[in-house]
Amino acid sequence: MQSRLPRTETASRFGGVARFLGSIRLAVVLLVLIAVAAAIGGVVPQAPTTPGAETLYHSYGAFWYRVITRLAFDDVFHSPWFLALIAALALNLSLCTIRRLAASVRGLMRGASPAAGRRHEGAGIRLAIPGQGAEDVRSAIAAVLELRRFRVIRRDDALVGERRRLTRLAADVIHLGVLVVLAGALLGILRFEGMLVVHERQRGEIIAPCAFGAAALGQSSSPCLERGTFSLRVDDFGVEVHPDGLTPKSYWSDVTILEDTREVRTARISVNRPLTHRGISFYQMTYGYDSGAARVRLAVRDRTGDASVAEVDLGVGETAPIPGSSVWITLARVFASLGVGEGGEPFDRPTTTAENPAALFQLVGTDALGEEVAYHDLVFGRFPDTHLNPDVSYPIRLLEVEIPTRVGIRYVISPGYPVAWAGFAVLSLGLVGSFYLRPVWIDVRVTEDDTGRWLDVRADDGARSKRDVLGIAQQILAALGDREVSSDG
Amino acid sequence: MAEGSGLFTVAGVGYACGAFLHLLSALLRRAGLSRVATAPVAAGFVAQTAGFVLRGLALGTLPVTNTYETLVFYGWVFALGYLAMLLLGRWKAGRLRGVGGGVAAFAAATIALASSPLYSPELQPLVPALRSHWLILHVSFTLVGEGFFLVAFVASAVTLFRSGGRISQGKARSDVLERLDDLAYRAVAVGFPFFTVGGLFFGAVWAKHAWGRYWGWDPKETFMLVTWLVYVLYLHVRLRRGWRGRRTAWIAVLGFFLALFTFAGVNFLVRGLHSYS
Repeated sequence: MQSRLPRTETASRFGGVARFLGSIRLAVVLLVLIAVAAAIGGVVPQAPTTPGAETLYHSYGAFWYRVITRLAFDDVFHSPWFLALIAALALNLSLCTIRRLAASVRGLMRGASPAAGRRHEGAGIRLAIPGQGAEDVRSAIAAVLELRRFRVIRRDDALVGERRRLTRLAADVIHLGVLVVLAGALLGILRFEGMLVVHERQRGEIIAPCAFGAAALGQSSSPCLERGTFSLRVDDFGVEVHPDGLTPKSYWSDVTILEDTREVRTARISVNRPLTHRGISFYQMTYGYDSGAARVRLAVRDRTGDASVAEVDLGVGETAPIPGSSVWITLARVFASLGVGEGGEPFDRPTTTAENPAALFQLVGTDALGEEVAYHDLVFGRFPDTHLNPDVSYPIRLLEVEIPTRVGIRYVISPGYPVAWAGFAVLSLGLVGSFYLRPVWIDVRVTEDDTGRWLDVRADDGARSKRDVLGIAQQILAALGDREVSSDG
Repeated sequence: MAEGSGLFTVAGVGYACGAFLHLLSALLRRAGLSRVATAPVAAGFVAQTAGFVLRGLALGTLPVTNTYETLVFYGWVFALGYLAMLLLGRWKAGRLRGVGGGVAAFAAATIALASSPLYSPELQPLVPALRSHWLILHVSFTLVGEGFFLVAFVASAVTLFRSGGRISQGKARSDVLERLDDLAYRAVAVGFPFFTVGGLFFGAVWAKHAWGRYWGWDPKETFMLVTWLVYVLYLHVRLRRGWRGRRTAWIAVLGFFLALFTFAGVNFLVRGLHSYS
């Protein structure tokens, strides 16, 4: 049986592992790995929009298809290995921050100087000074530094002036900010979102919280608010367009919040202007024509197109007989703004107005002449004499097209967002402190050698320039009553 | 209407003149020409700023709402990076001519590309998603950061070109390389906070307001993060591991290529929520 390791050795090993896990070396490796992984995720289409396996196979070839699917490159950001990398970075950052922050705070409490290496990055000035008493010189130096709003630290061998000392913690503040952002992202697993699709006819109806389990089981036919503790009513919705009449300026919905049938809040939601109530945020997401709920009134003519056979009122999916025959006409689809795809297939363009209304009909049966009829015909609202099939048994003319609109309101419960926001704010504060408000640090000491007595003024990198340092040195010299200047620049 | 486009052309000519004078200065080995080169760049910058103000007033917001405007703004931030590093005393106009010429040439090329028939300078009405103050902050801060990254990129590219693998050959050459390295670092240090706050923070807030989520791994967001990670890497290896010269120069070059790719390339690769920019 192996003997247990002595406590100091165990502690040393543990310390070694902790140092490695919080080391800059590991941080560099993790940053590279996460950057490469994210780049892969940015290039390869990601779930849930990933194309089918066959498309992936043809796009990338057999080898890369195997690599992509086995390593989950088509869902990088949810893959266990990517999450493990993020967790490792969080651990690395936490350990590094704890170690650094502890040292920085201890240093600040003791009034220690910044890292010795940084002293020599800044400017240095050497001036000859008169032979006054040492205490007089120190008092003059301290007075000048205090006049320049430096905090003076008296050492045996030097006087140190420091400004913006708290910004020494800025790098740690940045790290803390990143950790808080990551904590916010972790809280994102509690995020919930749903979509309310409100049709024109449902304006003014109350959207109540979903009955327990009804929405999940698909038992609710009208929209309901999952996880809601209040009701919502969409009073109106619409679109505002620019003077060109085409480009949308704003999509909006006027909503009222109700608690126990009492109206507590009325607001307009629009793109970029969400509404938040009791932790649920509502976003204006979609607006458009509800072609599936369209109705048309049409005139059916005889083969010559001259005589009207019938006028029919139809909704999408509805069927009606054509009088005098056994032909049935079905309204298969309605387009608010018909477009034609690259393959010639018709599609509905997302527009703010019904620019090019059209209807697709199916006619099946036996016509008045006893001929079999089975065809589709596409009829245009603006071009009544144009047909997909020019030679048809029953030319159709659209008399009226009524296409209602609908709005999509996304609602989101996002407990991680305030945390991430706070993290970003802390991170930004740290960045400003670290890169724009670095601590200014002046080291002033009196030295003597064979050539005389010298005032050495050396500044940390935070001091703006050599000219600033020279200014301080000259001010000290003026206080001592001498202006002889030389420099070791 | 194409408000400001004339002034943008003037700016492009100014930047091109600046780049040419820097080139001439390097060829003739006359530092004076390089100092003079700053004048047309500064004049171009003033003209472009005036153009932006005019266009912004006509549009009612910062003109960064389509590819033409963002390209022009890109040129402006490049010139801003050039002038800011000069004003901050991180770079002397008579020295490091390659950097000045490179940055001015980039600014001129960007304006030229924007002015090409590929892009229309006409004002376009704003679609709802772009009508946000967060958009202005997001785009402007991010691109200002990238303006400084360009300075770092050019300084690093010159470092790689001049060092040729032997960084410490001769005192004068070594001094130049040290100054280039320092300039690259200073430029990253100035640009990084802008890039982080604009790209990540303001971008996340805008996404949250517009789409209800602050991060969605949209391809543009993802490559923005990749670019940010590369600059985080640059700062860490330089400040904490003491890397200098060619090694950090390669990272700065990679970082700027990624920034360019994020700006212009991602939309060609995959369409996402940022496909209007």
